[in-house]
Amino acid sequence: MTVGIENLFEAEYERLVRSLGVAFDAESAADAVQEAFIRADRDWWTVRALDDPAGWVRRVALNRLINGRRDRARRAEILATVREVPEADLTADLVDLRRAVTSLPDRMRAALCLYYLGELSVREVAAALEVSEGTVKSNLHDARRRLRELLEEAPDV
Amino acid sequence: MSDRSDEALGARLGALAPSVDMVASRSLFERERRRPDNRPNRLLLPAAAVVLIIGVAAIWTIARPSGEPTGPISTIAAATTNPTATTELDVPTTTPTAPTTIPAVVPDPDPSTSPAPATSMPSVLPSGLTNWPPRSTDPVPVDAVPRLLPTVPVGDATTATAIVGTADTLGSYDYVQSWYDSDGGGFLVITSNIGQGPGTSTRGTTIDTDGWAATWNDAYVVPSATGRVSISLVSAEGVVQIDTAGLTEQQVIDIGRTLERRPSPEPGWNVPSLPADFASFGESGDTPDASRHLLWTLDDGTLIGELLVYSANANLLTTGWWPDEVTVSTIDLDGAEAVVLDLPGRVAIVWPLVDGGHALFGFTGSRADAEAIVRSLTVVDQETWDDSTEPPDPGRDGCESLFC
Repeated sequence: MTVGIENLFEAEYERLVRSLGVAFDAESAADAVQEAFIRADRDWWTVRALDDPAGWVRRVALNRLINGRRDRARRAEILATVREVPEADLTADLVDLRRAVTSLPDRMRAALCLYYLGELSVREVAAALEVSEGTVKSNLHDARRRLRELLEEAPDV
Repeated sequence: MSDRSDEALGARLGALAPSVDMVASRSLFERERRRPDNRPNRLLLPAAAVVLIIGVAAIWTIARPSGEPTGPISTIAAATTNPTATTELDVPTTTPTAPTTIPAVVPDPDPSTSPAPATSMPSVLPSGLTNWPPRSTDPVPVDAVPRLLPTVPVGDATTATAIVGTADTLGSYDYVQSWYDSDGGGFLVITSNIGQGPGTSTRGTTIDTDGWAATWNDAYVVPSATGRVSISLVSAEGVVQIDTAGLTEQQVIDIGRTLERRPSPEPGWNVPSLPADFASFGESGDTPDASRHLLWTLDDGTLIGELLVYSANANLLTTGWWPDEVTVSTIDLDGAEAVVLDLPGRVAIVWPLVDGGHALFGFTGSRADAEAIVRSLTVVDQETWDDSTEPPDPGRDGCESLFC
């Protein structure tokens, strides 16, 4: 059974932006995921035939995020679609968690957020990051360890 | 299998997640996917590209002076690393010369129905985003973009795939000014986007702009997880975006605070708070951009090298490679100052071209090899280009780039 691009957008967009919005920032995440869906639509005749069209979208969005590319021309429109949680609305431990997550390497952050927040499987995270499942498991293990260390060091915890 | 023993971690990360307005997101997606340049690729687009290439080649064959321009890279790369503000319409000389008028809101692609001339606008408005000089809205023919090929191997690549990018229809008017930290990994890019709309301040930390050199309806600072600090300065006429790496939030705010509009009708801003080590890379206004794109791949399809030649817009951000560990330096490339971005295992080199535009080379390998490849680039004719490259796979997934 094939799904339409609209169904895929409804099913995946919000979860992906929220996950990647923690790993990177909301604006970049929304821009990257929008761009990935636009490309998916443009090449839908190819993408729809893939085993995992959603995985393709995640991979394109992640590549764009990790390489830091953005579409400046639609910045205002992107900003109107997402809203970061203001730091003033966060408890001290969540502020520390945000800083700790921010300090992790790109791919480790992405793996962490896609797995724990996006609730993707290890296999799906591996496909999105184009790495082996073993690498994802290792990344998740290292991320948890480093977060524990960083949060123990944080004065507010 | 990894365990989810720390179930609370997901919930805590969820508390940090941005909220997503799905109505606005869906609306943006629907609008973007219907733009002409985003219409679905079927068989028509590759066919149209082939027809366009053949047509342009035929026109070029008829129109050009005798003898295809060939020769070393010095014939196309000159030392225009810091173009003056008045040369922002820095399009190749073969571009039809028809700069029209400032697109005050959204430019009309048809020059005959373009908006009112700049002189009819008020000479001074507080934000400084009015009365900018005209820019060209004419597409640059792709034949104006040189065909560059190296004379040395690109690593162990066995295939070079060539993709031709035709000019997009422009939306709002960008003017981009770029500086890089000649002493390390930092950059400053100021993008003045006229006609983008007032934007919104739904995220980031709002800045009090009382007493700033230029006044704004709204301003906010946006830190990112990747070591960058950006601020957005919003007025009714558009948005000025200051994107940086290697600078503190306070330094970036100081840059925004002291930003001075150049005397009209020059485009761009003076930056009194520019850090001492920062050198100009270039500046230009957007024109509808054409490009030539080469991808070098290994037998197994791994992409190891990439050359992008653009018709316009010398912009450091096109590299996309500005993580914390980047090392920045410059080299002389037959008279042109090229910026080299060194990262572990990969190198990017970006430089301006003499007839406008710029080139960007990315390579997975050593800096010495990357420099040797760039120094060997030579302008070739269509036949040599065709013989040395493969056409793109029509089923490519759109993400075949080191800079994607």
